[in-house]
Amino acid sequence: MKNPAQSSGIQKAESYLAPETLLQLSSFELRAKMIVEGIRSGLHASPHQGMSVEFNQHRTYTPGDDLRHLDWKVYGRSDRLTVKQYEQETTLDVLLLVDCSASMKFGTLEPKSGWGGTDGSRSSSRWTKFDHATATAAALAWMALQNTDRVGVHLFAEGLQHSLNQRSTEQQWRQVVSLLSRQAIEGGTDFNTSIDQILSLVSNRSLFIILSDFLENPGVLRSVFAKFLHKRHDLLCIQVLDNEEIEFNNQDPTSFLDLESETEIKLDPTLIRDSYRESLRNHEAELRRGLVDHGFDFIQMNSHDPVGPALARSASRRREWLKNRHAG
Amino acid sequence: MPGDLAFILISPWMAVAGAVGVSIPLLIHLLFRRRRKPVKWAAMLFLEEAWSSRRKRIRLEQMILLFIRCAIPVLLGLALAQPVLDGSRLLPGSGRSIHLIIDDGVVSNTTNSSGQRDFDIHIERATSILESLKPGDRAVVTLTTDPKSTQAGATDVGTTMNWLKTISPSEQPSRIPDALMKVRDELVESESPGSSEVYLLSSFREGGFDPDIDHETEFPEGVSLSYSGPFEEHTENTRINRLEPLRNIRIERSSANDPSIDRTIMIELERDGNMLPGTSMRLNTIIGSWNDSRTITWEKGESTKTVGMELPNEVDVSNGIKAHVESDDSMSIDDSRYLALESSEAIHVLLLDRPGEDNRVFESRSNPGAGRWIQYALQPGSKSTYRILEMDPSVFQMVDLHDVDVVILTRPDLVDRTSGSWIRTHLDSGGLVLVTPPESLSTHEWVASTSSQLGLSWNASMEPRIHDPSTSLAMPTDPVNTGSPLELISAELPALLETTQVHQSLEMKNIESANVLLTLEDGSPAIISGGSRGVFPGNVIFMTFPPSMNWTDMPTRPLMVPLFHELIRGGLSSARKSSSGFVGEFVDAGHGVVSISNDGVRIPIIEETGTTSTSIPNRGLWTMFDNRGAAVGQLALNTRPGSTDTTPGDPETVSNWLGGEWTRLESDSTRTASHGNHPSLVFPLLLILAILVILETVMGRMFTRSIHSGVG
Repeated sequence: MKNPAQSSGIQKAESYLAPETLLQLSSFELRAKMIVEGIRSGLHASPHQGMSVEFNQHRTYTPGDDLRHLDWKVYGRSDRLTVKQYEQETTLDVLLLVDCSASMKFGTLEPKSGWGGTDGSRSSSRWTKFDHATATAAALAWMALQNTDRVGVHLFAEGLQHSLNQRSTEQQWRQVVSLLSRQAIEGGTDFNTSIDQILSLVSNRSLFIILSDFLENPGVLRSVFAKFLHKRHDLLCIQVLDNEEIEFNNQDPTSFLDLESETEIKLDPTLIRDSYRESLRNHEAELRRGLVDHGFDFIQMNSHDPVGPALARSASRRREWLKNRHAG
Repeated sequence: MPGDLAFILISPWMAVAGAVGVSIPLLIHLLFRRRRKPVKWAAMLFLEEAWSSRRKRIRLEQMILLFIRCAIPVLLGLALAQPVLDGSRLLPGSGRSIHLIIDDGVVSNTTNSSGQRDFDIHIERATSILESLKPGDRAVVTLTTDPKSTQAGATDVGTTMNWLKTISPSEQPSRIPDALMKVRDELVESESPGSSEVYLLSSFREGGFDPDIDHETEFPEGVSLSYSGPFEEHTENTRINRLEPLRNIRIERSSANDPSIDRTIMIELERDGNMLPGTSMRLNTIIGSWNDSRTITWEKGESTKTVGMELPNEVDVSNGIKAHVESDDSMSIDDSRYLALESSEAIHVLLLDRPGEDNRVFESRSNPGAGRWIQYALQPGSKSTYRILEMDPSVFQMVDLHDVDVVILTRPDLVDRTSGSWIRTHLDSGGLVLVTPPESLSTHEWVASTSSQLGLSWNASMEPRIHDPSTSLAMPTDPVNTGSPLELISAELPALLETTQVHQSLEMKNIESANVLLTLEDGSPAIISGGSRGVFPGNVIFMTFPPSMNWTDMPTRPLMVPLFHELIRGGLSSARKSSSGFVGEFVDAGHGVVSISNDGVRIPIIEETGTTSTSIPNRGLWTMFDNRGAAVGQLALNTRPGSTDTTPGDPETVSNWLGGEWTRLESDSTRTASHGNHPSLVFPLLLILAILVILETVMGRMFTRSIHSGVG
């Protein structure tokens, strides 16, 4: 049973990480900080978790070594000054791939008062999928940097739009935030091209986190996932969908205009609601299966829900991956 | 083909309304198709997939729903139209040919004690007969007021029944003999008249049927002949039979000393029915805004009543007179009557005379000549209503006849061919010509040529006949007929005539067409008239002696003044009778009139004859127009007196008049028979309608409320 203090901390964190709170903040940077505060408030695993220093070998003490690292047990047995040499974890490259195609501009959550943020929210006056994805990405970047991971960001649509090479400097998070807040949302989505371009820039084995709505043929996506496996990267796919996209509760017959292709379709939502939801479920299942088959992970986010679960899930994924790497 | 339908609609307009109601769901459908502001959408992938998998089914569902929604107003309209199944039409046709003769004459407007008009009863019977027909049978309807035009497309029973609902009784008199003749002719020309049935549907009231007019119609062998009526209920009806002035010309500025006959109109009332005593009703005479109302009380058994009414001088009669009797009787059409009256400031006389030529005559102051005597007679005082222009026959021109009412010709021998043609023109425009022999001539060759110039065939002896001893004047053996110029003084005439002596006169020949107004003692004509409504619209009065002392002592006798006043006023009045006529007849509007119009209806006038090109459809004051489009007078058109007589005809007389081959229909036989064949379809339709409404509700919930287009 949770104690009251923990419960209060959870509630505070939830309020920090909830879109309703985030979208009140006019500055994207401020919004990102709010997420960080949410994480710090203790809901999720400590960002230092996983930063353990693992023992590697003993060596003979030489003057100047830190006395804290002397192995006193060995000295007692052998009367030799021996220093424990630790191997610092190989720095992890976390690469955030954020979909900035026009379909990410969709959102139905309305603000309570005027607010700004990303290009998506500025143009549609709604909390868009892109808002949700970038908020999550900013939080993930901060978490990774706290782990001294190197963090890079790639924005893609029909191809690679902007890149921020991976670094673990103190300024990196600010640059990540700045890049995400400036990015325009437009164009269609071409996963094949975009991923090819991004993978060509990365030589180290890395943890890729893709934030997208993944509104693409599952067959195409499956071939994309295979490319990550081929390069021995790890992959976490975070599918961001708006609540209306998931529920499809529209009532009135109307015309639907595709944000990417301008295709128009006139219909009565009530007539096809069940079929729509079934299509969505099938797509998600295929997506999940495609990722699991390759040993990757998948999480679906509702843009009306807090970003917390996604962060916890990604932290967990990071630990898992590190373990696997050492094991391998 | 409507005639083949196996059901009949009692209220077809409701079915039409139902058909129009189909537009409501269609309209809603179209409204929902209107373009809305599109919703920007990202997850199109799932939308397209879902739509393409369900599109066909959705469209099918929507079509079914739309069909049901369209069917609901149609069925509702059909149910409200009260369709009845015509069982007889489901059977094959028997080739029957029905000829219905429906009496739609003015007397068919008679309303019985149940409030039903005779005409409505005829239509009910006709409908019953038509309902008994089967597909392939033929029906033709002929109306008695217009037998020549049979209902167009009448061979189609369904169309005929619908047409029957649109017609109404006419104001025209019934012409049953003509209708019988028309149907007889049709049957004679048809290939198989033997299978034909003729139904004569009439009430046979006295106003619409005259047993004295023999129809002499023999129908082909084997034709079944039936008739309804006569209706035996005695209905109360009071009508105005006549509304006439004593003179057709009213002098506007006649002084108080003038005879009041110019201002008097006569109203004759007649009533049918039980003729109860003490019945009172109001009689109104309406002239523009002026109204005279008086109470008429009938004595027991009294059927006619004549009311004289003097019109005040200040009332303008130029817009016509209407008399109306307020009676709540069985027919309202004959409660009113119209009168058009010509009014004038004075009577304009052109006296064609040559005084002084005969010195012998003028030697005596006691015998100033015929022309002068006539002037003395017409202008006895200073306030005469006569304006006399005296002119020599050899110098007068056509223009001198402008506005002239009467031409007095005391020297016809001086009228040449040209002058004669002008006078004939005057007659053609409804004028009066009074001719007296020249007093100074001993031989009278002019009679034949003058007569010829005026379009008459009259002639006279060359030499005057000397009466020795002188002879007095007398009334003709036949009583003075209605319309005679001397009718108004016929009571006083015998006494006046006795004291007047004629010394010599012309002996008239070839006067078969003339009316003899006065005779000599031996019965030979003394004053004759003719031409009015015959050769020309005007009137010619011919005296066989001039009012000259050599020929007669009339100028010094009391007869002189009233005789000439009456000859001119009465003669002129009869010449101007073109201002009245009867509904259903071709009316003579006179020359110079090109059309007449009333209540939006315009009827052209045939130039050659001056009569209307069609029969008059309804009563009222019709306005006459000349070729410039200017109104030149009024025409009072009424129902012919007697044509609205509602007295029931005698059944035996009707039966005899029609002939033995005609069978009288039982009163309700056709109707009773027809009702059994027509079960109502309303209940089954309402049942289907209820099922459809339930289906619509269920399917509407199952499907949706609108229809949508596909992808793209």
